[in-house]
Amino acid sequence: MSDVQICSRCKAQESVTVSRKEAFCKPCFIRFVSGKQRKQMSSDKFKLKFGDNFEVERVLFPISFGSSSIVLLDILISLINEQLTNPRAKLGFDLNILFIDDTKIERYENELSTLISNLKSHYRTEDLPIKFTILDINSFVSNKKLLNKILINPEYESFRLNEKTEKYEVKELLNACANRASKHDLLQLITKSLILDFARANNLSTILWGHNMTTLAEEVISLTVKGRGSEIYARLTDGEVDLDEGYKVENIHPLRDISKNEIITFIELQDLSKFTLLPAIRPINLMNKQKTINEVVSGYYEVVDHEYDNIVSTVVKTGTKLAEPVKKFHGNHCSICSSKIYNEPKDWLRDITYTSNKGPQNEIELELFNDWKELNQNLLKELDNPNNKPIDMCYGCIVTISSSNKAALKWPILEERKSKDDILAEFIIDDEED
Amino acid sequence: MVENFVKPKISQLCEQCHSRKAQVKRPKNLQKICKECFYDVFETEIHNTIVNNKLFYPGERVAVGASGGKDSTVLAYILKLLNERYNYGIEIVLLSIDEGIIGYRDDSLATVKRNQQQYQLPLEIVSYKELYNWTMDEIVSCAGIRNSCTYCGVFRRQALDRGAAKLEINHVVTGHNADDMAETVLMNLLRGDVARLEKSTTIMTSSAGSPIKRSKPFKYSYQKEIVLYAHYKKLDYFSTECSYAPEAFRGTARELMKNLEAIRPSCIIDIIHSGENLVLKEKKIKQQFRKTSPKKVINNENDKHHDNKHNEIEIRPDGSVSLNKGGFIDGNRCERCGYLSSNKICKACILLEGLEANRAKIRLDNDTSSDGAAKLTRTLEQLSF
Repeated sequence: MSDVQICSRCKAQESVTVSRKEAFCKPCFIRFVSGKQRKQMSSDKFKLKFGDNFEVERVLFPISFGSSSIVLLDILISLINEQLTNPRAKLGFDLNILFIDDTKIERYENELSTLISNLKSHYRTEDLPIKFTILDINSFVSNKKLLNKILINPEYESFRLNEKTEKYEVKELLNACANRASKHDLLQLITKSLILDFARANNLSTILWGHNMTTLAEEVISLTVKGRGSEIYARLTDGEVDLDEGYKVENIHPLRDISKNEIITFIELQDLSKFTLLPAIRPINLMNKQKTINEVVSGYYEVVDHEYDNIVSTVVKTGTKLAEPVKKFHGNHCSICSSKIYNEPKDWLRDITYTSNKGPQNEIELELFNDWKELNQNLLKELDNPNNKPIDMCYGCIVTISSSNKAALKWPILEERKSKDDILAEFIIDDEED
Repeated sequence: MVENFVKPKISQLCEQCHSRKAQVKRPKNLQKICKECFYDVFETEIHNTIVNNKLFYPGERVAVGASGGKDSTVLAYILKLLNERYNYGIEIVLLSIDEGIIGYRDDSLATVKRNQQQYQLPLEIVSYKELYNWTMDEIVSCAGIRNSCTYCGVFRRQALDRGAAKLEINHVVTGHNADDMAETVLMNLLRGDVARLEKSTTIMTSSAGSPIKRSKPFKYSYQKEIVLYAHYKKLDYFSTECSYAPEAFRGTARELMKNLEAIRPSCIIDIIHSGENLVLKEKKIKQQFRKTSPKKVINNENDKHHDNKHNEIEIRPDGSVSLNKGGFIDGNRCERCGYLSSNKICKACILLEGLEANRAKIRLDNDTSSDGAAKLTRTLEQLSF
């Protein structure tokens, strides 16, 4: 190959990168990636509006300040800027950006506030009709009345016990986790639940997720490994979802066709790396046992995708072919993650796990058994407490919670489904509006 | 014995019976249990799997696919045990396949023959040589080591069925364990094998056209527990891996599983649970597209094709041909050997044809060049100074 290659799209400029066996110059590459986003958001509701008779689409974009969401932000802002150039038309959609602030839990190398002020001055967000909100992750547990201790007995039945708690933060909640993997699982649940509640409280009808093809493929395998295979279809299918009676949200993954390598190239070409939040812990420096499930899967793709081409896109394609296992749904929702419960997990687990035993066989054993009983009185009492109220739990949550220290895990649980006022009341909004 | 007895600490007690010292940690739920509870739990869980899934009926004759490895040895042992304990009323026969791998299979078959004596069960051995006139060693020397698993897998499936048919048995049980099951679920996702995705976790497979069904009583049993059980019960099994390279891609999936298991040992049954909940979308749009497109072609060209529309045969990129446009039909037979096949000619016959075309025309007397690596290893092991 010669050193200088001409862009195969415009046939004029020198190429700067090769993607999908095609040489691109910078403008053509940016256009190519943006084109993928436009394809996913091609619905009329995002387009320019004329006249006065229209409803503005209210869009939520949860941002993590990872590479992928920064790329999407860059593309969305350029789309808004482009729409603004038409003086007669009005903006097609109303963009709400939400960051769930987890800086009190996860350590980052750079400062969030400097990053945001850099970002604001770079894109001149003051001039743009964008609303930016930072929500403290602790708002998840701010309503102390809802906090309940979670118990699972050896028969896989789960209970909640309302206990008065004074000060409680997500950090303490996560302390109950046995390892980083479980911690990450719970954090994912918390973040997702906050995003959905935020969307509902603010009447936002579309959510743009920043995942790229590689992170989606990572989700497919990770969900499978976590026993949440039934959720894959929901994660990968774009379109309207009924979140709660009557409240619908449309999920879109605008970058679902863009691979991780293309994201990295985009970041380099647009010089966006200064806007990404850098986690202090890098998976590459960790031993396998310290990694999260997602990190192991992502590491697997990095190794394997060179040798066996297209594994990532195959996995995403397979994921999109999945449907809801409707037949296995019997109307119950998980009290922890509020997803639908399929294939009643406690029955399934009971069928494959034998928990009885022959008991003590001689006097020495009987003595030991009685010693044990005496020492564990409290534990036995706790499981038999008449105030324990049974709750429904999905398989994935049973797995995550079983691996944690059950005596210490507290979780906010509602008696009934949340009303909009409930949600609004929970929020400590650390608002930064533009 | 009792005099030397040291009373265990309460924290060391079995978490199941709380009266004996724990000796085993269950990978499934990280429970620490004693040896007695381990036997009890391991055996009862398999019994429950058999009963809940109605795997056997009284009077049924069952062939255990016995390789001499840990899984099938424990399977034969435990089926005999449970059959006697719970009166299933089944008749158990050992069925082994001799692939013809010198230095590997001959040794493991010797184990099976010992098992036959130990458990007093009848044994039938079917060899690739007598069925296909090829041994695996010959196949590898002809087709190369890279595809060895493809040939071996296709041939073994048929060989087990043919062996069972020979014994007039309609049910083959295999020692596939939870680890194998989970690995298959991951592999099917990674390879996008949609056709197998939904079925990959079924415990019993049967086909309308074949009288022989297969089942996996170890579907929920961890490999680690099987090995532990074999170890504690001092079962006689053969523990060498096949000397031909394992399928490269399966190797990467296995590595991934190992890494995941180290973080969360329950992940194996978690993956199986996920696998049981994977359901495919109905393929409505695709079928409509297929129905309309051939018509357009027909209208543009001549009408002769119109009558032949149902006789059209699609030739797939791998050289196989489709029998029916309406999709997979259970119960088709291979034109050559009569074995169950979704195509006109079954996969084994296609592979054999390829092999025959490449078989060496002339062969040296006493030629041993086709013997595999295992033979060489064994010869080297016996050398001494």
